[in-house]
Amino acid sequence: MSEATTPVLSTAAAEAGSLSSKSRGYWATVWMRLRRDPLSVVCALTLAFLILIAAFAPLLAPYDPAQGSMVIRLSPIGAEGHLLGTDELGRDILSRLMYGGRVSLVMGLTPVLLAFLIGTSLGMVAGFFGGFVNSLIMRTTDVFFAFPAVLLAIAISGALGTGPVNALIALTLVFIPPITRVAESATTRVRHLDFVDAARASGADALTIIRVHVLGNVLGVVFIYATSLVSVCMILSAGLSFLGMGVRPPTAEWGLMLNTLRQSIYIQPWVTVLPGVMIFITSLCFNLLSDGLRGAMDLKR
Amino acid sequence: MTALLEVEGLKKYYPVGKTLRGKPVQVVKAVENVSFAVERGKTLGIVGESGCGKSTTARLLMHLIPPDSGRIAIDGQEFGEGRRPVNELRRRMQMVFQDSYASLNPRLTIEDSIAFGPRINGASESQSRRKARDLLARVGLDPDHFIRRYPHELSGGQRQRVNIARALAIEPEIVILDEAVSALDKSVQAQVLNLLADLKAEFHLTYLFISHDLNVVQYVSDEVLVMYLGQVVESGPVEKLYANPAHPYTRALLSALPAQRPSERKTHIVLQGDPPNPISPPAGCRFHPRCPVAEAVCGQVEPPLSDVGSGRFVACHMRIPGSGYSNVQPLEVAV
Amino acid sequence: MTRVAENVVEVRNLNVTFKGEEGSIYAVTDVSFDLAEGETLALLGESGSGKSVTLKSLMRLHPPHKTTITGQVRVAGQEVLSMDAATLADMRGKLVSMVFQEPMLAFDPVFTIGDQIAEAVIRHEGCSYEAARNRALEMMERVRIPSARKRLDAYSHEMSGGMRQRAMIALALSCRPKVLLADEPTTALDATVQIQVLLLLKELQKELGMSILFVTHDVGVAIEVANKTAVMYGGRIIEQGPIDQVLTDPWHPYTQGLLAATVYPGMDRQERLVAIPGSPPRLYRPIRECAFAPRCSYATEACKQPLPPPMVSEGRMVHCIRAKDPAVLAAIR
Repeated sequence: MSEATTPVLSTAAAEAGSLSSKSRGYWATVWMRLRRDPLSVVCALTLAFLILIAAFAPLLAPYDPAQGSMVIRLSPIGAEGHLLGTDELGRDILSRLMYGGRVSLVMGLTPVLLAFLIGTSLGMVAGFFGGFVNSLIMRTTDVFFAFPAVLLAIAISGALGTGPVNALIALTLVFIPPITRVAESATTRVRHLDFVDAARASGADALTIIRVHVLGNVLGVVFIYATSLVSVCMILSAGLSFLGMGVRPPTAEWGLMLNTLRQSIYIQPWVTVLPGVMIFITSLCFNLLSDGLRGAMDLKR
Repeated sequence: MTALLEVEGLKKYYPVGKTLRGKPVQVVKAVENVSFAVERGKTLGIVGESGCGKSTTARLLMHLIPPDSGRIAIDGQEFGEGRRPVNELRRRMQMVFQDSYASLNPRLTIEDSIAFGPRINGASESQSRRKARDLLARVGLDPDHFIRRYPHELSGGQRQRVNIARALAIEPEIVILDEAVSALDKSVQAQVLNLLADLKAEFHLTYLFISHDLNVVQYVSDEVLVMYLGQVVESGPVEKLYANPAHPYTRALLSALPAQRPSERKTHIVLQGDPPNPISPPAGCRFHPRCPVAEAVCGQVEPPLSDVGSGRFVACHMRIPGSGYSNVQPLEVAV
Repeated sequence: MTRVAENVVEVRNLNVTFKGEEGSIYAVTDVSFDLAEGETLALLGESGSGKSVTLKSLMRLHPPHKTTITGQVRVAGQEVLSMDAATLADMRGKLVSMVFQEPMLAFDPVFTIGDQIAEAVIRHEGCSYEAARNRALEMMERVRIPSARKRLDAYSHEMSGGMRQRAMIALALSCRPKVLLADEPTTALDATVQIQVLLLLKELQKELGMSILFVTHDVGVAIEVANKTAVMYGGRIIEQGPIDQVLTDPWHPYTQGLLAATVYPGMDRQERLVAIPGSPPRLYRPIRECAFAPRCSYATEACKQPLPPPMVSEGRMVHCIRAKDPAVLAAIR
């Protein structure tokens, strides 16, 4: 205290001592925190397991999913040679669930991924430039919000005609508006933070600011939201197949399987619900993982 | 001696709400007719309470918010629409914000945050990085230890040092410090104030120091500008203004400060009510509804900011001869 | 002093630990103090010093699942830490009440100010709605809210910041508590409004005869309201005593440093501020030695050993082994 001037660098040395010695990047920290959350780990492992099985279905499946024998139709769970029983055409349920996962996961993930790319771009443009551009984009998305997602998916699919590709397009269109809205509000929030003003003050142009300062802060938020949409998308695509607007028989797909097995619910109730259980588990895992991710990405001051 | 920074008639109104025809329902008169000049190497303090327009003034100067009207000149060169480009103004003038966390991008390392300015202003990658290291060391943070870190790993004081380094990275002549030390604990605040003084001498900077803390403003400033509801009510050299405040508002503001030593306890001039809303401010002198010495004329006529001698300016009828106030006390006579 | 004032609050060896994601946080360590009737004690400290946590312990306002509290907290003769939920709820607002930094949080936005004050009165005193409304009006007048009768039917968002702060004080005092806990109640206010609220609190204290425990980081505010102070650092009280003595002649190097680092009115602009180097400790481990030692210019090897009990003399307490060392005293003078 007696010294009038304290050398500035000794200050730094003392302050440095209060920091942990190792520095981690943002995503490394998120990853570490996610790994510490048991629920997220279980969900991630389950999803990884399902994806691996779907990917290697041709190697793993005990039977051809399209081949059945009427002799053994509707065998119960644990029937000899058919661990999870057979369906109304005598096809092996286990094999069909494995193959069905391929279509169901693709149908669940692809529309969300596409909508993520398109919606984030639209939302960021709307949020950053504001004014007329914002009004144009956001009022257009509002029109889509007037209809429930299910109805919208059915309407678009119906207009485009049935088939997996059209169902995929329909689902993408359904998910663009909500993602746009989330991206827009995140961008608007970030745009008003001081570091964006600081960047403007150093003379940066709009594109540079978006690339360096806005993108990184918006993507995370939208990504969390998009993960939670995967489950909705899986259920919707299953619903479309169920209504006969998505995948066509005899292709194995969980929603479609649920539809065809439904008539046999009084004969083999446990076999019938299996595709539903798969949809349930997968979407639950995506939802819980999204929650975990939200927690892990929220680094407090 | 000409001033480095000259500001004249700066004005910003915000419309609040709109009728169907697009006319504003109400207008916030955020900043009105603000003029001042700062000489090179000096510090101008701007004080006032929340809503007085001091932070808006800072953003108007940087053109982060476009001003409705007003002239901003550095070294006699004017900037803004139809004049020299705003980006050149921004290169010569930089700003440090109050919220040390919000003013750093949480996804960028300290190095990237500081190097951003030089990079987009044409410095090479290696030059920008070297600049970041040098400045980090200069603001008292060991580059080897801090350069790869992220804002959330730093304390408030450390982050504000980074913000200062970032502002200095494109070598400005003027730095606007908008409540830059207000959120810091006193022991850390002292470190940063000392640092600011050192940097000012080393880089020959000119400061605009905006704060609600009158003690700190007195300590750092050469000249002071007191704002109330978007207008300048008083300005002048710091010693004279603090020793003998001319405007009743300045007087009350200084009197409201608690003593910092037990032996200096005093009685306070207590103003009634809160600072009013800048939406539809009172007519006449904006301070008159809270003013202990207001008269009829104060509610009718807006007092102009008038030269009262020895470099001081006041906007108060009480100090302006011929204003219609019953007991005009020219400043030198007033105790 | 004609009589020895009775202690309304007695805190002994208070320890508060929070379970956090990255391990435990030892927020308050071995804190003891008394608050006599009609007194105001300022808990003075910087962010993270444990002053707010200490304050909240008097009402047990911490999240129960994440907090471990040990020690003794006696308010008006009742032991707070062992109270059951019903007694605790009864005590909050009646025996002890609290004003916060942010008055928006104290009021529910969907009820009028008057009804919220009346509801608190009914809950604690079981009187009629009419009587409670009258008490609400009386309190609003006492805190000098202009046209109080009209404001009873106002909502919190319709009031200005200073007015809300007054309304919160009215709510807090509506059941005549013996102890008022004030957590930085004027920090968010403008200077001209802050002084109004501080003077109001002092007047009300005289009228109603309550004791105030006032948490603040601002030396000036503490001097304005308090007659005693306890300076906190790193979760401990490092110095306490009558405020005039502690802040005029500080014994602890941290208190000295804090005062030296604060800009005071009329300070010479050529004079350099004496900053305390470094930053406050992180409380991720129990700190048994002096928490200030790493930043202290008088620290010796002995300061790294566990702290002995505090030194008490002349009605003051200081927790520093070097406090009265002649060498240190010489350096300060």
